Amino acid sequence: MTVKFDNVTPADMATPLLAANHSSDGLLMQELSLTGKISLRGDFANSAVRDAVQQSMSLPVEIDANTFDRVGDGTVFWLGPDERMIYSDIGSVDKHISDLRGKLPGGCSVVDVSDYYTVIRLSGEKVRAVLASGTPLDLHRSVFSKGQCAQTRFGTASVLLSVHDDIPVMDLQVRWSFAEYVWKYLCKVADYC
Amino acid sequence: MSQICRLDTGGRIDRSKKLRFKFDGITYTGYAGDTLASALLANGVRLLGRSFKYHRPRGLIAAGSEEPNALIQLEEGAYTEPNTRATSIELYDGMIARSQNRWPSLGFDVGAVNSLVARFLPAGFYYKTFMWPASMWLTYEKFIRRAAGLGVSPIEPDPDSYHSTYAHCDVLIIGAGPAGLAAAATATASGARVILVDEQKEAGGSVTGASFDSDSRTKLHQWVDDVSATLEGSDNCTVLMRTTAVGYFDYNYITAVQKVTDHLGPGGSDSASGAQGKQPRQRFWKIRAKQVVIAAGSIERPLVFADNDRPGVMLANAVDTYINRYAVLPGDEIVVFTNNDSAYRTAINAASVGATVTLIDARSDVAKALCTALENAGIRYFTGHAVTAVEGGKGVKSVRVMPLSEDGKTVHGQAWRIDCSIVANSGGWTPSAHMFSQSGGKLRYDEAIAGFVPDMHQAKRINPNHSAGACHGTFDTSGCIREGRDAGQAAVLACGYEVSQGVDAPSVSDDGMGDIAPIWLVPTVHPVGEGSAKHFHDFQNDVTAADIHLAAREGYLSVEHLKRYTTTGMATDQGKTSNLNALAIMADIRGAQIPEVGTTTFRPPYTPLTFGAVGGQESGELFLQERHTPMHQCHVDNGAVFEDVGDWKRPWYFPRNGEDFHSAVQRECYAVRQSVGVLDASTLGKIDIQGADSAWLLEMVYTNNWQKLAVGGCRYGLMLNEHGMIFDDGVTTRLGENHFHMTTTTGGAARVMSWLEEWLQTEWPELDVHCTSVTEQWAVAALNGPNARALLQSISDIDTANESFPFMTMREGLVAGIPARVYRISFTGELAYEINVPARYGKLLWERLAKAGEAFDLCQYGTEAMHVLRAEKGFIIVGQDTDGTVTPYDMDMDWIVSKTKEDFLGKRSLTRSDTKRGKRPQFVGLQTIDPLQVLPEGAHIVAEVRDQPPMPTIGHVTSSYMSPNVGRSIALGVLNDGLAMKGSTVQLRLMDGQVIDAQVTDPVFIDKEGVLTRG
Repeated sequence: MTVKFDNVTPADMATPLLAANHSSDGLLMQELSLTGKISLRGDFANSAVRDAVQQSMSLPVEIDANTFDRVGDGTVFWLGPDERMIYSDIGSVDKHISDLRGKLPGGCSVVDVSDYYTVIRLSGEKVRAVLASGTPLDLHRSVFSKGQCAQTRFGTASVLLSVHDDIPVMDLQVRWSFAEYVWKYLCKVADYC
Repeated sequence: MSQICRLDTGGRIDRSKKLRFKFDGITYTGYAGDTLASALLANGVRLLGRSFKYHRPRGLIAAGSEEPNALIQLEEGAYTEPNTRATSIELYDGMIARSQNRWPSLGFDVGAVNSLVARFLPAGFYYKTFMWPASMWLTYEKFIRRAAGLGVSPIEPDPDSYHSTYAHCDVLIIGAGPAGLAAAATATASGARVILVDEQKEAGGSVTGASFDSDSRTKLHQWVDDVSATLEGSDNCTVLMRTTAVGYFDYNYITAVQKVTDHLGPGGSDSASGAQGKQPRQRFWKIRAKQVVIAAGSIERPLVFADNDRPGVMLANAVDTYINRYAVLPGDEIVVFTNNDSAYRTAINAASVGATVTLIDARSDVAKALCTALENAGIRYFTGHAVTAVEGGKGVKSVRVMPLSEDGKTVHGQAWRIDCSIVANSGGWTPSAHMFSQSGGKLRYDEAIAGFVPDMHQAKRINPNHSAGACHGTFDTSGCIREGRDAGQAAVLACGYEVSQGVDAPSVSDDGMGDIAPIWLVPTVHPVGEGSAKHFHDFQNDVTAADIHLAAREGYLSVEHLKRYTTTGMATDQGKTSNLNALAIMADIRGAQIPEVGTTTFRPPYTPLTFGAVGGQESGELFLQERHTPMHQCHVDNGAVFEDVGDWKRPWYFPRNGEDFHSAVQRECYAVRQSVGVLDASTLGKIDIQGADSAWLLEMVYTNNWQKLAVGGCRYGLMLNEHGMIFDDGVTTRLGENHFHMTTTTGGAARVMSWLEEWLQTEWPELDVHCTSVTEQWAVAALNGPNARALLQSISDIDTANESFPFMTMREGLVAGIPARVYRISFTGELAYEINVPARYGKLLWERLAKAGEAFDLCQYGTEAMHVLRAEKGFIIVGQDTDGTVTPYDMDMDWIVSKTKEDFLGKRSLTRSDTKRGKRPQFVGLQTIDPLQVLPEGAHIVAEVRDQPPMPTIGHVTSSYMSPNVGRSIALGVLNDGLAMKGSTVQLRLMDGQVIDAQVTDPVFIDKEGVLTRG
């Protein structure tokens, strides 16, 4: 007796919070649908590296520390001197990865981490207060504004925060296994802020 | 009851809001704006507690958070809170408060007998008497604790909620008195980010309570209101009232507790919650400031005179505050006793609201203007005199007064009595340098004010701060405002802002403390320590001047010894009113200067705080993060019982139909070897390794060879630390020529990642290798059992034939319609496949496997069965069978240590004399003679059984289970020279004395040849 299963389609793709959302006075939170994520390591001062990424994904990789740049449906985040995170459409990740691996010179690494993390989008006037409850990072607009990103912690989880609008709109990227913990944390402190 | 001490007019209270409250079972009324202390005083209640050691009746001394006596057990049941200060409790309707330190009642207290036998209970008495014999201390301690009877903690869970948050600013200002407001206004006007905290519910500091002439008072109140309104309306200033800065840590990290809804009473956070969200009871602020302005004010010191602890003896500024802020005149007949100018204002103020006042000044030389002012107010006064006795047991009835000698050391002449109910005394003002001291700054003794002030030359440079106002030794209000403004300007300048002009100060006249002539110990007719009178300097811990003399006689001369011997300053108030007096008395005894005696170090917290606030929201399910795998919900639905592995929740076992732990595990173990089982192995650490030097890195971190591993091949590896000891293991697969997929133990994932990064970053930065954690990228279902291949074959396009997909290889393909990497590796010794899919499909994979597995009686098993199954095969678990002290040789795994490699981490240590000696503890199997007996893990193998420990231990059990597949109990352990002892019998002695015989065996109990795995 053999059971036959259909091949998976985009509709089968799950995220850890199942697209959870929250709405309260001054705060909207939503887990974004699965995004393609590529961890890229290499020497970005090397023009061969820059050109390879430019050709494969039309993205600049030589960007200022703790900033991100968005071109089309791709986004590149500065995570460290030799480390970038690249978001892209989930359907194109495999193609981008093989493209990159084909074009990049030695000394680089390209890893698919699409599922490793999920992204929670927060917007509304309370966002900074809510996030300040769990992160020691200074989130004031004067030091953390649109186009900036930072790796920090929220509660006990490592997170990547990025500012997409000064309203504010911020994205919080967290590891899959910590997503539920962070979500509960956010919902709890949302009440107090 | 009527509020007999309430004045008809005045005060910052709302007489339209009457509040009822209970103290020791009796109902009273007060007004909104009262503290519990002011409301009790308004009702004529003066006896508020018993003292800690002698159980002497005690009343209020202060009006602020420095209060040492009036400790209250607030509320009941789960909401009860011990050791709260009546002066810091804002009154609310329905409050229930009780006095502490009394048994059976406040009026009649059995412990007061201590007072009668006081001569037998000197300082150091407990330690000298009860510490010997040491074995009896536990008995004594219970008795002493009950007799001392501080408040009791609730036993119920805390029903309140708390919030903690981080905050950042350019300038943090501690204290919203004249200096703090001036600093905040100046800094805010410059555009800096400012946080202003104050423990009171309203800004103003001394302005809210102290006495001024009416013109100054009007101007100051107007100024405070104006500045507060400006700050409240400024976006760049956060004003936090009811917020106490409690701790000052390095790099200007300050913690503060905000009492958000305490003033609303139990459940207040619920009533305050609404559309705006839920209000926590308290909020804990963790503030990082570029600059700090400390404007914490000062604390009035009591004079140390005979029986100065009688209820009714208060600090002069407290009398002022009760009159001015709360409209409470504590008594109609008041004696003011002072050594400085500030209490003259108290005397005149009290007289102005109808009290009969007599002023006693220890100084013989007093400014003429002060005397004139007293005369104009109709106040009798005596300079060069001292209060030598206070009469009245549960409340002051009168004082005795005598002329003081020129040097202040003796009294002479005739004593006479003055009837009074209140003694308002002032021994000077002590700058509140607590925060400066906590910041690492040193204090300097200032003769002019007879007190310690911050020495800015000895501040800690990493904690840039400024002290302004009374905490800096400047007591006049105009001076405080000026200093605050200057400090605010200096702070914003240091932050890179342009300095604003700052606030305009009102022109007011007050001289602050004025002149002072210290008198540290007021003499009486008997020498100190003789006669029945006691000179208290530390009220909360019941320490007297005589105790300081005793400490000195016994050689405890240094301030640190003095503190510990007498317990001065060690109560919950941390000696806010007592420290300087104690130091000065010791200095006098030693014939030394006060700076020579020195000060003790101030430590956080400034005032006691709740653990709830410190924990904040990180309680309950947020106390420790729970990590979940993508299949977690499936396990919940399947009734799994979970086990904590690191932070992960892993299914421990899946009980069916009311099975207990044992039955479920036995069933799961059996089912795996009979047909097939599936385990959620997603938690295993996974690291993606890329780069031309990847294989070289693996050669270095593992003990075996990696260069020749074929693409698509898997290999098991052991990692050693520099000492040659096993610290992790796992299977690593070659995905490409320069691309590997490493797995680690669940608990070791982060450690291994750090280990690799440490070597790459510090020792081998030139290598072309990058490591990326991919633990959560992959969801893993491990199929184990003889039917694993059949099941996989039925749902996969991968050719699963043994020759095309052999043991220790990896293949890619579709499994149940999902793109997967399948690793043919085994942790059970069975035919096994670990199916890895992107986490997005993890739950789907699990559901589809369950469906497809029905035909094979697929059994979902948990970590306990996994443990048993691997033990049957003799597979180690790093951290359970190894403990950081075993080498591969100790584990009988010399087959995995390369003899040909030039180097690998830990190699050198394997040839150290101790690691290569024989007869080390070595890994063996153990089988009890009675096959049904399961050894407890941790049981010791002894060389010789004795009646009781100690007895020589030669090994211990590391893993032990009942194995349904072996059909008997099995155990693993380490035993000295164990490899040579296989076949012999050893004895294990358990904690209860039972002795068990066991045979030493090979650690592999099933399929020694490894046929099943490769089949």
